[in-house]
Amino acid sequence: MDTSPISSWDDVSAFFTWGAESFGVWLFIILGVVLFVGMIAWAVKHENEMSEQICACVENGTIVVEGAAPAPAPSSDGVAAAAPAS
Amino acid sequence: MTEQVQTALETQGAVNLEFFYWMSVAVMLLIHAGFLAYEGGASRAKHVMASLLKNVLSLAVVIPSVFFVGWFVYNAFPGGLPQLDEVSKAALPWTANSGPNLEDPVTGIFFGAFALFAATTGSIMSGALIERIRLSAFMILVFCLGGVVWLIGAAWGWHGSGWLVTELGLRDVGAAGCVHMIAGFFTLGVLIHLGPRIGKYNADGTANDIRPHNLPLTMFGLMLIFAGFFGFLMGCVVYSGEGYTTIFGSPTNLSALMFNTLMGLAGGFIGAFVGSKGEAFWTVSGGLAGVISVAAGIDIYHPALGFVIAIAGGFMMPRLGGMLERRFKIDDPVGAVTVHGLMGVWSLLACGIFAAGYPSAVGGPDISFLGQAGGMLVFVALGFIPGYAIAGVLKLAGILRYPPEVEIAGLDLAETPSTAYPYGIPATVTYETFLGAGNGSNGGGAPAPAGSYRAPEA
Repeated sequence: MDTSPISSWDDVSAFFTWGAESFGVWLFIILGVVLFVGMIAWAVKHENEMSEQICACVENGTIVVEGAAPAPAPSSDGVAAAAPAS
Repeated sequence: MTEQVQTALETQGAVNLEFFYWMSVAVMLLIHAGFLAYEGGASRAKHVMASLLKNVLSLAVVIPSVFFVGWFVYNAFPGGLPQLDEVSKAALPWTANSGPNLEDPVTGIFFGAFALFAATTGSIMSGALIERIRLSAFMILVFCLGGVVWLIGAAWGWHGSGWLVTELGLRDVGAAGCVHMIAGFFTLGVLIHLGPRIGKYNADGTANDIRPHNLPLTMFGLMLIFAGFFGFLMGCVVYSGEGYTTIFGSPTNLSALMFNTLMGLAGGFIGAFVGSKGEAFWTVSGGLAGVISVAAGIDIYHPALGFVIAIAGGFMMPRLGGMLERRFKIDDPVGAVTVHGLMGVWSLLACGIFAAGYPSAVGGPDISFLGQAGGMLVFVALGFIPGYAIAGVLKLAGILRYPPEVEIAGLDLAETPSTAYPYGIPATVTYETFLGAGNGSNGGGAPAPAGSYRAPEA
């Protein structure tokens, strides 16, 4: 693949692949942004799946949470119910 | 002077300039390493790898964010609203300046320095959100903070043509406002929506002390951050190959900054040591508070004045942090809002009090208390409003925070197949256990049963 925007190193300024404002540069900017956004989207999906699995495991007792059995009925505002008897 | 000598001198100047900022970026990376250790140590054992991974990915997100968006934002926003002029167009990622270019030895290294400044904003926020935020939500927040918001603040108040500089005479050489305050108040906005960690507050509103799983690592991390700050402050001056100026156009040198960097560090330690009554976590954080306290006027204070300003900042910091935790129920495990946000406020105001009357080098008003206070209010709003709004949207979408079951089981289970301590870590005696109160924490977040302490084996 010939990506060089120059034919000689004499009096060179910008010399990166394809050169400024070229189709190749645009293509890889778009590809980079898509991969960047895709990584975050993949992370959202992965977290949703793992959360479902962990919640299911806690519910059926496969995961026993140290110091929290029975679970302390947490609320989303971070206020814990009475500490479990140990 | 012959043409050859002239060419040699110009080449030498260009090489010096590039190498100066190259080293700045390299040393600044220590800040990120330090934050990684800091928040890794501050996490409980079941969340450690998630915290470390979050910090690493902060760097991964923020660098392309600055390349694709942020560098343009910095160059387009000095006037307040975005302007598409020749300078800002040259900062777009597809132009001749945004890549290897033998006629432009500046853009690449400045991009590097700004990317690392941006990484610092992400790291500041990262530690405050540990143990409950989803990694994906964090990455979205880091993109917004590190790639856009702080750079608007930098364009407004950390740029020779920024409107806060030309209209209000704002002076903030060490970036207390655009980096520390914006990151701190952005984080506050996020924390309000995110809420405290499970178990942080009791039903009667009293706060529990959730201890770091590795306080020595946290303290080591802060020492790395201090080392990295010397690179950060290198990046806060403009080196032309012939001499130094501040970003505000006034002449300076590294010697001027060295005085107050070290005196600020020492003063912050002292103030926090006294203010926290010797609490190690706050005392070591005091060094950071001290450097931030003197940052705005770091190039002009007499070192003794910088020392006292830093002591005051360090002294206030643990008290303000305690107030945020107990009165306002803000669970900020590393004190980021206090250390960066509130100490940034103190830094800008202190500069208005103690450095008023210094002239502007770019045609704006002299330094004044009102100018500094005005800039401070702009930075508070510029940090807080986007943080609050974006976190609110993420919360509405249901992707801001993990479900309680995951949080209790440990974020490591959800985020990564890695585990930090597969063979366990030994427990050490807590102060309460030593006194016989039996209220220590075993690092897993649950109160240790009374009498459960076992002395470490010899």
